[in-house]
Amino acid sequence: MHKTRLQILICGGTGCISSGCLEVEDALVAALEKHGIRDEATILKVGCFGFCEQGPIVKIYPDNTFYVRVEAKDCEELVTEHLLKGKHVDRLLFKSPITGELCHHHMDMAFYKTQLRIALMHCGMVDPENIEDYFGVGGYEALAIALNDMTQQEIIDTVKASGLRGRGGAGFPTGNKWQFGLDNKSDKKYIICNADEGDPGAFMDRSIMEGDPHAVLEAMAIAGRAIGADEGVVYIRAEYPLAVNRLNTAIAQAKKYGMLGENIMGSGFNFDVHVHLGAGAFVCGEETALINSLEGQRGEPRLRPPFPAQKGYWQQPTVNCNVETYACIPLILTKGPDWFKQFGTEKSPGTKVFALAGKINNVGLIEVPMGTTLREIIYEIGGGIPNGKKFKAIQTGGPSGGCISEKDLDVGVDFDTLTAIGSMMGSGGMIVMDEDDCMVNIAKFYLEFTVEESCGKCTPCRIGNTRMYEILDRISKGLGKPEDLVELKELGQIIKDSSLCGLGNTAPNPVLSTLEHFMDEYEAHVLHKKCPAGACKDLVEYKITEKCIACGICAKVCPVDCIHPTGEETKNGKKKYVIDQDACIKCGACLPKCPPKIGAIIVE
Amino acid sequence: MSKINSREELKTLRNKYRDNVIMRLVSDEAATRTEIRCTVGKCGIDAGARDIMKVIFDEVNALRLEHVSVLVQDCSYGCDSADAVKIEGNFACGHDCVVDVVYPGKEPKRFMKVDAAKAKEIVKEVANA
Repeated sequence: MHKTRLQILICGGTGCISSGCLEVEDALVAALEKHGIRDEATILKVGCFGFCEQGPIVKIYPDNTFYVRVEAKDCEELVTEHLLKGKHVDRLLFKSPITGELCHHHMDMAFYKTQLRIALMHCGMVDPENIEDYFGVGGYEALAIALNDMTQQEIIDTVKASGLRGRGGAGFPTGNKWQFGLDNKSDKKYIICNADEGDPGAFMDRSIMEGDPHAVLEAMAIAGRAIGADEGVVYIRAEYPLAVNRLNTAIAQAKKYGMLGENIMGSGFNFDVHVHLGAGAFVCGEETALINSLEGQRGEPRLRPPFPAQKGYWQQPTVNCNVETYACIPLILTKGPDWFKQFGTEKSPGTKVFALAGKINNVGLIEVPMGTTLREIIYEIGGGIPNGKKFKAIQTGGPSGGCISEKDLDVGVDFDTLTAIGSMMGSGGMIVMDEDDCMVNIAKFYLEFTVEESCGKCTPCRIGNTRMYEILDRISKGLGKPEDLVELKELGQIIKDSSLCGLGNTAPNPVLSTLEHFMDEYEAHVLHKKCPAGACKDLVEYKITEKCIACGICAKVCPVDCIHPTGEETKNGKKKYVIDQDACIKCGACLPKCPPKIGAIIVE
Repeated sequence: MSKINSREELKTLRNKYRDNVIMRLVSDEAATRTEIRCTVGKCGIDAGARDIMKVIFDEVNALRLEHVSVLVQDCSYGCDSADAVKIEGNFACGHDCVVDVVYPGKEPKRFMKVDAAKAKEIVKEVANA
């Protein structure tokens, strides 16, 4: 049965690789060999466990112990204490920041307790480079069901009944999309997997492809069977080399076992998949721009109709779904649509993967049932805001989503509720902001991204967003006029209504939502020429108050040498330091240097 | 590896490779997992506890006890401490090869002076529990 008494899983996602998991693997092998028990343990590099903040993560079976922030130098102790004596190495366990208790198992942690993994079910569980592991957890059974037990229409009806909606952002019902694909007749049809994932900070699709690539391939084959397509393309950005590698490995293995290729499982159904590398343009996440890019043209959106399901890739009926959407499909077929529907909300069943980032304690990848409140996500799973700072806003939906303020934190997250409060689901990025973030600056930052990524095909997006950016830039420099705020609103609405594709339709969202929820900050910038958070450099002044004891530490770190002892005398006869406002570049280097008990430097 | 030509062949393959992942699948279900813990303090190691552990592991595998984990633990009688003394060549604790069986939610059941034959009996007892 078991090949070895122990199985050691090391997180091999991109995040943990950059924090050194490959060195951990080498050190672990060396330590096992040194103590003569290499044959007692299987070492596997698996996909993302999600708790990236605490990486590299090492999980030891059969006792299911979860070690965090493991370094190569820790491996000797892990072997001599845990593997040889059965004693847990306490210093490598996660310590709950709230209760102070050591968490031996992942389910002891608040981060995992309320999570529910469907799309990520096998991520961090199976070896992504070994199809045998995927067979072992019941892989390709859903494809067998689709090929043997169901008609094309029955597959589509099952997906429809599950209520699954597109996880890429728009939330279009997947079953309906497949129905259009089936209904549009043609000799040649295509299945596309949108793995472009352009939102900065979002990495759920990457993690699924790195951790469970066969689930995506299996689902694409099922989709192919459902609409009568025999060719699939994964459009993935070249910036994801590990995911590309693992996908290619998975495709080769699936072909070897006959899970892709001709006459799959003797059913007569043929389906092949290949990977297409994109250059990483944000607009190529839009499906018609993606199809243009696949055909070798510029990544510009096409007019719709005709929709891709009518005339898509090479003008043939094409079904294009997101990675996470596909990852839900195999389980919907094996466990049934009712199983899937028991999770989530009525109109948005199932779960959603979110990439949690920004000013939050537990940065990482989480999957929760739809309808989970933002408060639960931020304070329970996310562990709250670091350094005791105050929560200000959470930005969902990537650069074109909106900012949500404290008052909406009890909203249960799904496609419709997020839209209702002026943001959107997007692909599931969540960036938390605290009191030190200036909302005008944040809106400017996101708009700068969309202006840069706009393909330029339609005027509202190309010129409108640029004009909005210029206004915001002016406001953040203290040159804004009251009528600018009115113009921002009008312009934003016009761009939303008249742009050609999703990029332009949503680009003004960060500005419009911050205008809605944080008008006071805009007014402070425009009317009082002040930045309350102290983030807009042109509007702040660093000053040294009378508390100064003339120690001179601040002057030493000033890169432009603008702090000099020219003020009044202190008690011990030294002269207090003064910042030359004309020379100051507002870098903020002096601020943390002033001893906290003195606290003489202030930002105004 | 040849191609899979039917659903039955897929099923055969799935059963074969379930062995790869079964440890990971059941380890998350603490409520149904029985642990057999072999004591590998100095006393146990001296008495060949690691060999006994291998006998237990092989037997668990042979009987395909999916919900049974074979673990190691320290000597609870203190022979692992720095000042442990040996009396007539044996550690003072005197309990060589101790094996605990922990059924889900229950107190450990302890077996003393376990040899290969007794080890197999313990696994049989777990299998029949």
